[in-house]
Amino acid sequence: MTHLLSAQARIVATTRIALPGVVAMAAFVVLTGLAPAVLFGQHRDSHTVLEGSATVAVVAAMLLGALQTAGDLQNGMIRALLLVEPRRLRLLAAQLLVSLGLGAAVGAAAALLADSTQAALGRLDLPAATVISIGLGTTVAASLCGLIGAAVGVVVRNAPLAACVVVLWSYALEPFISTLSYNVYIYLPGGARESLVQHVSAHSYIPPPLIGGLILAGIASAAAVLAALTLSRQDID
Amino acid sequence: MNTTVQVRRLTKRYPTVTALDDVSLDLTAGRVHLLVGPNGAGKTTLLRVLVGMARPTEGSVSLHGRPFSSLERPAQVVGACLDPIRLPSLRSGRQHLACLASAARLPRQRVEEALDMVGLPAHVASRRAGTYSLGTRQRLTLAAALLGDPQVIVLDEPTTGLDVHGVAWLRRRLRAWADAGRTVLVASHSLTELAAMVDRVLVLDRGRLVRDAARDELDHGRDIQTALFELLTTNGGRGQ
Repeated sequence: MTHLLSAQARIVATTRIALPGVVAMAAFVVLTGLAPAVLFGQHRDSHTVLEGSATVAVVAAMLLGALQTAGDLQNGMIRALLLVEPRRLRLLAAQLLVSLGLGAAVGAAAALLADSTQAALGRLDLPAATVISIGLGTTVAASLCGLIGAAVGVVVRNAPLAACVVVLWSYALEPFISTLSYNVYIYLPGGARESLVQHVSAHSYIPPPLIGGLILAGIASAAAVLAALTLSRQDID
Repeated sequence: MNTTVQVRRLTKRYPTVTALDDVSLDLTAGRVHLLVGPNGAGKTTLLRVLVGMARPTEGSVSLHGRPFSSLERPAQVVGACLDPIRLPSLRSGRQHLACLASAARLPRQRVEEALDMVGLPAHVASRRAGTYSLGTRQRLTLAAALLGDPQVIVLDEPTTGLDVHGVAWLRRRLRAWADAGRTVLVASHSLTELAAMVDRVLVLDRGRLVRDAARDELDHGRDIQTALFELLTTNGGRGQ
């Protein structure tokens, strides 16, 4: 299995999507952290900024995972790999685990950058334990969402379509569901992410981070099973 | 005679078409097998089922007595060259092979050896695969098939995009592989380029194996290309 993980890591590194994606995500986190204060003199509270960076990290991780797996199916890489490793579920496991790792790296980078920009502005007014637990929550959320994105890519099998699914889900459908029923939303990836980064709401119940993590892990497991069923049954073009 | 590939009562149905219909055949070591037939005869589907890309509806395929999916080191048993057009375009040829070598647990030096074998120069192998001509893509796909130094070599339309030197090189390689004891299966609808190299001819038509014969059973002292042309247009032909 280690040889497959190594091969998959090499594939991700040479696809030339991951690095630009992480750099774009980092620039976005820094800009959204700095711009309001530097350009308009507005100061948002640290928790809101850290939550915002978690959202960006989670969507970036999902996008990277989805683009990687759907792209590999589209451009013939999966077919080439299956000729040297025909056990499809092993190959899928390697893909999902590498996306999990890449998501963790994206989450950790986003949390560190958000903390750094807030510290540079002298606005990091949260206790150290809270900063660390939000950072860990961001890392866990991004890693699991990286895996979910990779599973979406396997099911959708088309990179542009997979990217549309991720963006529409994250920025349109989930927010819409949250306005309809927050009690449903907390069981979706976005709601679980809010639990993990300790979102505070005066109006709605937000489960504790551990429960949010378990909900997201459950969603990721279901997505992995769906991807496994899809890949094991389909013919590869 | 050492049978390396066994196909038994293989049927592959898609929702609207039966691509393979009860096909049985054996491939033997040390022979070049040419799989011919008109467009849509089922040649590519047979190759795809052989290497596990498509699942059979009925029947079985075994390589060295085992299904492809249960081979421990498949790259050292089968090397397949399918559709060269689709390659990851952002990765260089060398990186592409390095990824495959890593997945196949092969030493990195095999990448350079495979590139040498197919005559892909170092500076070309370092370029992104998206910039390659069809002939160069074909050579890269061939290099991928040869990475594990396999015993069974499966090639789908391998002359597509190759220039005259490339075709001449391929003809020499086919003979050399077979002479070294390897099993070679080549699917092609072109009768002119490779027919002279083959030992056995398999004719597919509308998903059925309509002829399986040694070369000397077909040509009867005539030109093999003419014999194949007549075979395809009469015995396995659609005009009947």
